[in-house]
Amino acid sequence: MRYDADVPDTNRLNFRREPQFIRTAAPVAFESPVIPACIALLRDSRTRAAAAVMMFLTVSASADDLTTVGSADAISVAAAVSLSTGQDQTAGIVLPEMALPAGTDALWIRCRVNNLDSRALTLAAVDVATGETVSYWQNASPLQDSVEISAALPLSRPVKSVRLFAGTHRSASNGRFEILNCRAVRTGLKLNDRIYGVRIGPPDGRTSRQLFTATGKKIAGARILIRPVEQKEPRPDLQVRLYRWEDSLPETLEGGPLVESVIPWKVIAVEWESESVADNQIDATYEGGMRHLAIPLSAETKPGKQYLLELAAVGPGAAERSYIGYGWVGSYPGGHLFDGTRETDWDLWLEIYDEVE
Amino acid sequence: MIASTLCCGVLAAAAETPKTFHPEPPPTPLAERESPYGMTWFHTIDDEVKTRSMLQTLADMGARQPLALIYWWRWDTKGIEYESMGYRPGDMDEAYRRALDYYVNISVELGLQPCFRVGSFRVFKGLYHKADPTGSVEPYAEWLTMLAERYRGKVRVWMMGDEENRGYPFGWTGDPDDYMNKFFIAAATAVRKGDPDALIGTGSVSSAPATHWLLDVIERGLPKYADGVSGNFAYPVIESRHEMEDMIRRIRKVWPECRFFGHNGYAENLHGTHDSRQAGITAQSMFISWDLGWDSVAYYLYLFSKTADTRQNYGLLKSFGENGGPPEVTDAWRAYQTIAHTFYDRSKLKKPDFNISIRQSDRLETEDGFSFTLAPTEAELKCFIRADRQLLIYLACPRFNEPREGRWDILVETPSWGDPRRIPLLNYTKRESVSHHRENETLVIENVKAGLEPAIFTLRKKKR
Repeated sequence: MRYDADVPDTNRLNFRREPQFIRTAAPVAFESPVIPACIALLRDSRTRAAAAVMMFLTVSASADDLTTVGSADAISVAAAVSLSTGQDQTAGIVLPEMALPAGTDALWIRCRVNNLDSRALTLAAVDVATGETVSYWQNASPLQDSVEISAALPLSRPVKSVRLFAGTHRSASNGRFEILNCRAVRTGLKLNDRIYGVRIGPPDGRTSRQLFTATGKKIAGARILIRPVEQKEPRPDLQVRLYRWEDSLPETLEGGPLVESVIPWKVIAVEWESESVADNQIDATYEGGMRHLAIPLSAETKPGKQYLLELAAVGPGAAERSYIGYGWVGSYPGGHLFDGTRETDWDLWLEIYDEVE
Repeated sequence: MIASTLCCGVLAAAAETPKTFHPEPPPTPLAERESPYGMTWFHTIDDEVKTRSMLQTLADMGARQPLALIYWWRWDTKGIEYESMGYRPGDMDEAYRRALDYYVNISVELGLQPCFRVGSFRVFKGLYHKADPTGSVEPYAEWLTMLAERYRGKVRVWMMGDEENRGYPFGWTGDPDDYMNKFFIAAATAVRKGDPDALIGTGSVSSAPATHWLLDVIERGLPKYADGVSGNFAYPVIESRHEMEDMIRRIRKVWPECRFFGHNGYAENLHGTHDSRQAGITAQSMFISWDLGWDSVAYYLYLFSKTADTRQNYGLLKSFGENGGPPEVTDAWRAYQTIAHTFYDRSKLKKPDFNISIRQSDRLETEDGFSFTLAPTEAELKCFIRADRQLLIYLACPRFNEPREGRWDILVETPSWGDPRRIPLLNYTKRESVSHHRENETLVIENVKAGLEPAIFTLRKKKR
């Protein structure tokens, strides 16, 4: 195993600097003592075979950075880690303990990654009390170019505090990643029907919009199911906007978005191995390639008020290539899906994550 | 204390020899099994030898309920032109009738339970037969009665149509009233008249489970004419499963005896003979369908070919040895076989009355002394006891598009069972030894790897 750091003099196998928390001026719910030797080496305690992790941590965030993520509770640890592992090796970092506020049922993690094959980055929340994994995430798609991604990690059971593992779990990896932010969130909305596809993009430039009722005071992000219809370039990016609902769709759109995220197509790309699938343009939901996609959206919301989540294909390729979202006829009382501007009785497969108050 | 416990456990395990345990119960012969496993088979063939060869591969695979697609206009073409539809004279009329006889009779001879999915008005845009412009269901119903009488006692399930819950451009809206009044009641009554004991299901619904539509037809009297409902369940729905469970719950609430039929699976073959992804999805799809209680579940579909719409190949079999050679089977075929020959006789299996659980076993340690385990959190553990002599354990991660893999110890909290053996997914007859020990009375099967590919174990009961 080999370690590369983000800076010259990469062959040194020690920490260059201790990881630190970035504190905000507000009360720090996640405050925890800095652990000097965060992680330099992971060992498989069963075999005692060294599964070395050499890493370099830098503290690159600042208080201003925290302002941009908008959470008084957030911690931000910036870690730039490069790995070079073979098959069946585990390597990574483990961040210091994070006490979770009451009501937390998921973590929302932002990271910058590059040179990742599929499943080459694992993020796992580990219950400090038992040492067991309570949430586990892997990148489903290859991410070769430098790109920022978000990951939603729902917890399998309530826990008081966690440590976050970030690295590769028994998978070859030459990837590089930086953990930019990790925050406690709670699931505000969960619509999980996935029977049928809703087209996002051409041939008629359809935009999908899900009306929903907010359950928290601040949204942290959303998660959808999605797949590209085909792989030919140029491919569109996915633009996601959040609006405050204003009685009608035109009025709502006229009011402008509260927040917008653009997810680069390469984050949604699929490693299709079949020419037949890549070539066809069928909306079939039973084709492979379905992915969970976490979308960062930071905005104030009012519980009980309705908001509109809008999905559109934008940029080069938007005139020709589209995405398929998933959903089906639902009994959700808090809203419904607009297929373009047409109201339907469907609901999008959608999870909304709120900041923990 | 810890050393003492460990020592006792090791001694207890060491004291166990193969003779300590009852032998595994013999498998139930295929012809006597309660087995929902089936296979969609488009091409009935007017060739006794080839039909027998092909059906034998289904029997070998444990697919007891082959499902053929049956069409009136092929049985009696009434002079219509069909070659432009891709059919030849050898596929129609007398040849078709012989092919169906071969399919039904040889199936029964091999201990299989042949099933029919009968066509509706879809092929000819609202007509049951191109030669009958009236569109009346009555002549079609008469033919169904004749067919049911001909195969009375031999065909287990009749699925009436396919995807009629959708709208079609020729004016069909998929309306539940229309389905019942213009097609189903007449067709189902006709089949029941010809074979009162046959099981009858709805057409296999599109966008399965299409629960609202099924509840609508149930409200319109379906239970009076049918034994169950049918659906086309693509693997993303099986992976999620909550829609299927929700459907079962809602339907059983208004129709407790309802059975479930349909086409389940659809895992694309991307790598020919050895496609571990297809094998894992196929295995899990069939297991989940069985575990949820499906009565007849035909994987879609058998032979290598490409679908007309998505141009995908879901096949499990490259060839059935029609030229005298052995059949060319895929890993997915073998995986299906292992599930079908391991998990059957569902109503006779019992749940263990002792705890069986998993604990993450991929243990790591940081330099600062923090010991932890890494594993996906979606692992599914299922356990069954057969004939009080065999304990079956199934462990998998039901994530098909974003597969996960992990390692767990399986804890069997009883002194009464032991000698754990792994049944490899691609060879159901093998019993592989596995690392295990006892912690007091708990048997620990160590470091089991499972993911898209399920891990399956068989344990034997200790003699008294």
